[in-house]
Amino acid sequence: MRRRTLLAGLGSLVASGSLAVGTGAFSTTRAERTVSVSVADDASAVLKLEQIGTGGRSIPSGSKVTFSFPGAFASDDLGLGTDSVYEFDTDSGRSVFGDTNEDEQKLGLLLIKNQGTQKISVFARDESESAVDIEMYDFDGGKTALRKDPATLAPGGKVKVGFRIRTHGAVSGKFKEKLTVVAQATE
Amino acid sequence: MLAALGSVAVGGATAVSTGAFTNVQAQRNVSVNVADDSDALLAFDASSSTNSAYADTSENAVALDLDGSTGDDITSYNATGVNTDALTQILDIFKVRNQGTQAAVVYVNPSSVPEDQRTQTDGFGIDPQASNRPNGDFTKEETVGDDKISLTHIYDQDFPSSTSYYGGGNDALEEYVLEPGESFDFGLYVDTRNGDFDGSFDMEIVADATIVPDSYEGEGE
Repeated sequence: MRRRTLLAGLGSLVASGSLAVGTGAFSTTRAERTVSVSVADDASAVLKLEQIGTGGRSIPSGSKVTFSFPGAFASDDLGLGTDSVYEFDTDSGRSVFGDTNEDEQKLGLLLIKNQGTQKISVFARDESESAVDIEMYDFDGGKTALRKDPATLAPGGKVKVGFRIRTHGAVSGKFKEKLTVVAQATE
Repeated sequence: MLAALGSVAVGGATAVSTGAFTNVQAQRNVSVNVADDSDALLAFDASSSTNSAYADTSENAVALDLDGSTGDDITSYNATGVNTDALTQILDIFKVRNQGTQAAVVYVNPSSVPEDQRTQTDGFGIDPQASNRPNGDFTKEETVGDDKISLTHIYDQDFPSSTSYYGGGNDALEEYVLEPGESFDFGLYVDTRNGDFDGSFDMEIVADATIVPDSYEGEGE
């Protein structure tokens, strides 16, 4: 009996101790959480970059899309003129004016689709320091350059782009240019 | 009966005051309540996050799913992964909230990110980011995530091969403080410009109330 009394006293002490824990103080907590990542091809990534056409100018190359102007099937002698502005928005060998629905769908050289979860603005940056300047433009949106006026794409939204190439001061030769497509959440 | 007990009890008390005992066994109950991530003392809550599509909350512990293979596509638009040859930032996948009673420094243990998956100048890199932070010394601008900071960059010396995407270099611990009730957004940088990756690993998120700096004076600007 006595022993029980003593335990009761200890019991109340424990209760006050557990009360302190109940207020939520902690010194350190560590939690492991799993991160899984896969890297997808351009056509199935968060930012979808899909080539359009039969591979003359817009070329699926492994996991990435690449571009060639005046075209992969053009002879080596053929090139863009210097001190000029060229616009390309159809594959080589195609009429600019498609007369069937199927042709319509093949206009533009690249389809950019927002497969993410946020509204984004999309623009492209020419990363190369050469006399050749390249910009993407919104094929269906008055050929607006996607530079200072980016395209706005809601999740699921898409834009077809063409390429505007300026050759001011460029001498003849091959140019390897790198274009960065930037998609930025707007909200 | 009662008197007899009383006298014995006195004897017992004397024995305790001398401090001599041979053996005492006292059982104490310890009750531990384990909560879902969203209700824990250090809570990970995706319920109101912009990019919660990348948080898998089907289990009690949240998982970061930038991988289409664990179920549906990672978004509702058939995306099966992040872009190749790209730098992808996905901010606000879930909120990290301090539901304790003390301010704590919250970060990701740098060494819990496998060495060949850290942000480096060559190869694939992944780095956890905090944005929308309540404390620290930064200038809030109008763009998304302008206050983002690498959560592994808390100690420069622990992560020599990392590249901080935050301009501040060796940032003060204040940047990582969450006071009771405060939260920041947890997100990820994925750098595939120099390499790809397919797989998963565990990242250790730490909240440490013992390293809040003495200089910390509450909400910073």
